[in-house]
Amino acid sequence: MNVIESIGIHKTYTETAVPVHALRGVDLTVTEGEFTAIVGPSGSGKSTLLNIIGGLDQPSEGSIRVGGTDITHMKDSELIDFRLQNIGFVFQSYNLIPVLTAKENVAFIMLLQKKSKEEREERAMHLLKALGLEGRENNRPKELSGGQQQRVAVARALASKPKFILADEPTANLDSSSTANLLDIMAKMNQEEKITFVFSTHDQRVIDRAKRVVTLEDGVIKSDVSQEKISI
Amino acid sequence: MLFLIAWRNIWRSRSRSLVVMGAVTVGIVAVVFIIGFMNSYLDGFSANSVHYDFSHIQMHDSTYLEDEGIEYLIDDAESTIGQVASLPGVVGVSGRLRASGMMSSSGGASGVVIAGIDPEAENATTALGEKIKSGAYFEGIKRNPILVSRIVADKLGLKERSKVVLNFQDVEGNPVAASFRVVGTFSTASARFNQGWVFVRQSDLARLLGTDNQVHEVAIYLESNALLEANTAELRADFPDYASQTWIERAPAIAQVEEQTSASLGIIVGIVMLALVFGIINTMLMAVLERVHELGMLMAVGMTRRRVFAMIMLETFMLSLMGAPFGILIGTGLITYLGRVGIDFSAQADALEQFGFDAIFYPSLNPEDMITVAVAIMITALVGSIFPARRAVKLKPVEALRHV
Repeated sequence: MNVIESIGIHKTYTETAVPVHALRGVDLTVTEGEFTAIVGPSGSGKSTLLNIIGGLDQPSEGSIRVGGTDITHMKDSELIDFRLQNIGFVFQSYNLIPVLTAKENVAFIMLLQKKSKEEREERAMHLLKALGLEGRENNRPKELSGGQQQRVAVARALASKPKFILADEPTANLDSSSTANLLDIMAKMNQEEKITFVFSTHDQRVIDRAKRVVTLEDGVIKSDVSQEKISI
Repeated sequence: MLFLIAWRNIWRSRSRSLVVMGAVTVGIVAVVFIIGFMNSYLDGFSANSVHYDFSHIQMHDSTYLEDEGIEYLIDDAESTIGQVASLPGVVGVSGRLRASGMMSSSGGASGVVIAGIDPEAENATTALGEKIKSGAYFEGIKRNPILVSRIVADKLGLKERSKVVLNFQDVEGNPVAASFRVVGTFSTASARFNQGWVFVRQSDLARLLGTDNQVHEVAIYLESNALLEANTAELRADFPDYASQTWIERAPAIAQVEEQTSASLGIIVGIVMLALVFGIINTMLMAVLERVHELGMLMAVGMTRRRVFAMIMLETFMLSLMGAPFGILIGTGLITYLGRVGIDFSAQADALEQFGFDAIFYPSLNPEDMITVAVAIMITALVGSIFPARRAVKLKPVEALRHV
């Protein structure tokens, strides 16, 4: 089943004196259970593509379907709800809510989904445990290491039971050990629970673990390579 | 959880929040103080005007009100006053004869209103006997004693036992001249009395005017304003030939002053609250601008703009309202204390007296004032929260996430 279908995506920023063509006709299909890395040099259009796939930005041309739903022309309020129900986000700088504990950060997404308190508590604890954060549930982000914070961010992304997780440079701020640990966890979830991951990354360690590597250059896909099965 | 987030967000910048809370506290103390002081100003002004001047109700011959003609009298004064005194809540009833004339002495002459009073009844009504500054209240001079205001006494160089001559017309229009001797000087909170009224015994003036058991005016002082309407209505029913007027009708300027003062109070409170609003907006805008990235993330992961708006509103409300109880407590305590000891303006006593004020102000608060303060705080918090909250929801997640 196709989780993401982007057809002829163009994105041109016209706010600048000279229009910037960030994407020039990107066709990308991601199926369920993929572990895909989108790579490319700075300015290649990775983040723009991720933003469009994640419903945070709209293409200038082309269409985007997520889980069979065309989100190309969705209204802002519809997109917010769509993102909440269908897409999990992991950001480069963790982006946890600093005033909430790890557990509260994870439960917060489910609160937005209007899940019951019992379900929120249970799933938050389950995810934190699965991500090796047992005993850290009552710590606030500033009391956690970068790797731990990013694992909380992954738990938060998983909490809403999304169709896929978009991770924008998730390991950029992590050391080698934390990166390896995070990739192990995500790969395990991909393998065992068939969760679809789409990364944008510069990090060779992430690229090495991806099942599929899509390379963008100057807003077009230069290569789309499937790799060996990832190791857990 | 929104409540929890909002609450914890307030304490992310503890010192900044404490400064805003302090500003709100000080602002509310200022507002409570201003209201309390204005109350004493208004109470003093209207209460003094009622007590020492107009009384609650005045009754005249209907025609007298048109030109204050000396011939328009209330007949059978003794019986009329007795009937009026039997109304519920009447503290004092004073029947007055009134004549406009000229008072001359060796020091000069001055136009005066000559009031012929029953000293005891007048004292019960306007407390005139308590306002004697020199001499005595109709004691010590047997023939034609006259009480003059300190201002008039100073103007004409009068002292105790000074001789003055009053010139006026009797009820037939004949000129009358009579000599009186100053028995004392007074100074009341009534600017009208102070500026040009002199008081003589009613029997003396009646003899000179040629009246018999008649008065021009009946002034009625009640226990409280609450009895005003009912007693006025009863007087109008009992004495349809006479005009019974409340002090509000008799002296509409006082009610106007009250209205204008209330309006001024509203403006002052508005200015203080506006200053607070700007302080709150400034603080919350800073809080929003510092959290652009975080707010973008919240909207990216699925927090609706309505919830973001509500969160910022909640934060602003909490920030604004946390200082409020302290402000109300301190303000109320201050007013309670000052209401007991008073604020002494003795240095300006003469000037205040000219306008009908006592030298000591006793601030007070009514339950309605606290409602006013509470509403003002709520409005301040509401107005202060809208702009930052609107700013927050106008953020575009994709742009906010790029913000460092």
